[in-house]
Amino acid sequence: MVMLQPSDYQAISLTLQLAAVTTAILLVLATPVAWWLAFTGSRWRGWVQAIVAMPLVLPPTVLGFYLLLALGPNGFIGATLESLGGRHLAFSFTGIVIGSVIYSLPFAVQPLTEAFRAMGKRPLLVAESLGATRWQALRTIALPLCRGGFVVAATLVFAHTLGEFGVILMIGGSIPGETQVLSVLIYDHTEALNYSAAHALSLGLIAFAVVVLAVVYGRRPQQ
Amino acid sequence: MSLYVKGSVPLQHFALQFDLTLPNKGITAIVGPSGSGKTTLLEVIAGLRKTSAVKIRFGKQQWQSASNFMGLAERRMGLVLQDPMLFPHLTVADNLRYGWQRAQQHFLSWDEVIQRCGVAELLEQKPPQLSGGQQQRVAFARALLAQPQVLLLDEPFSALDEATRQHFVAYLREVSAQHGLPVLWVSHQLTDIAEVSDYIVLLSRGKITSSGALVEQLRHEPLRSMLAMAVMATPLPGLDEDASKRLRIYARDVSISLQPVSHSSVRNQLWSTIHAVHESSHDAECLVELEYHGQYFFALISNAAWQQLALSVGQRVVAHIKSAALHHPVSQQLENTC
Repeated sequence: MVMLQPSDYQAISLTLQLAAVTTAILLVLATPVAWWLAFTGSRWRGWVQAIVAMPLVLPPTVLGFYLLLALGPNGFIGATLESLGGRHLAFSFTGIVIGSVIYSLPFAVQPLTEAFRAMGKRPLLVAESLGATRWQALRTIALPLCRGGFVVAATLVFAHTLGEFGVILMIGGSIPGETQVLSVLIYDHTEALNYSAAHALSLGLIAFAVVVLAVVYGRRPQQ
Repeated sequence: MSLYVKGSVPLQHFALQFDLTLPNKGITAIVGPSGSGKTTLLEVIAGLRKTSAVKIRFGKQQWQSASNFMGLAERRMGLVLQDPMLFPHLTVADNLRYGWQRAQQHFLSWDEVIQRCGVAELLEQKPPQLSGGQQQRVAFARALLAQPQVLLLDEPFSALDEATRQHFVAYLREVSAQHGLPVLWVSHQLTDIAEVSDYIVLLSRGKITSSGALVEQLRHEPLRSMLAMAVMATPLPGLDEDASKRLRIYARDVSISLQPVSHSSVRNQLWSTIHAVHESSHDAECLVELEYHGQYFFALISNAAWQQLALSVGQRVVAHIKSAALHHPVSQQLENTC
């Protein structure tokens, strides 16, 4: 058994933080998007769905490349922040959070859209007919009925963020404690021919991924 | 005070068009074959389908117009749809409480509704464990417990056996009459609904073919030859029926003679006047419309008999009604059903 170095622990902690923050942001962000996609009759639905699904098809490097340009000191977002007295977001934790959110967006939106569509609007309308406000109907009916969708979305986003590599490397580089997540560290270990360290982290990730996916897919369908 | 609905909704093969002023009491039946648009009409009234070209007014409340859409909660309507739509994650008790606890005033008591709907034993169960009939009973109870100002029903008792259905129909009539609760009831079974409704709307391919008070509609086509029945208010002078309910009299249970018959098993004999004679659904028979103290009913007799007795419009005759033919909905406590 190889002993992990402090830098390994730092990367593990950073990775978990990134995954947790990304999951939290995406659940809030993806819910209204998924709701709209599930119920809209708009002719723009297909386009929005395509944009949401784009990270599934694009090489992460493409996404990372444009994000790096936008978030960097000369990019639209980075330059705006600098002119306001802030700091640009390339090679920062915030930068890789933004990258992760975009990269994992379809993993949150798709299961939620499915869940909302499967539920339909009827239960909410019935709840309203029984005197509930729109908000009460969402909280007491939609949320519990779509719990499965939220669990799947959160788990997939979390797991997917753990395995993220290309986008982070492009936007964040490999700054220990700031942007050096597990996958990047494994890459660094391998480049340095430190195979035993790479093995330890890789096997850990494999085990974690198997367990998480087994739990998600093994969930009993809701009664 | 009434329910006014007007509008047009495009459907797959035709447009649903309606312009109706429905009574604000009693039971209004909306009847039509499958695919005639009756469910859509109910859903539009309930606000389940948001369409702009619809006006709905309930009494003084504007429910819907081109510029205005009143929320479903404010409409205070009891909805029972074909799919009972119980909340699967809540127990039956919590389903029932959902509307009950949000109601402002309670004119229907919790205990009464629970008992009359026969759901006391189901309270701790979750909806997926219930049979179709049980789910319908819970859905009906839930709608009542929300203390609605109008009930909108779409085939609400389709999964119940006949005896239980009769019980619910009687209870519905009772609640509607006692509390002045108007009921809109969608059904494809004309015979089932004709016996309980006060007002009837017939739909065919999106068009309203006729609408009006049931008593009147039964005297005219298409209901006259389709149903060949009459509904009369009781007590009828001369009839030994004690119930102050409505009687449903089928034309086939009524015969005619020129004089009272003394040795007959038929107990109810009414001196009536022949008001008119109509064609029946059978070539060899005719429907004789009889008038009795301002109320109308039919006798189904053969053309041969009409000629043999030399009957004519305006003539006084004796109508014989089989006692067993004086149908009225039974009211009883629901015990072990389904």
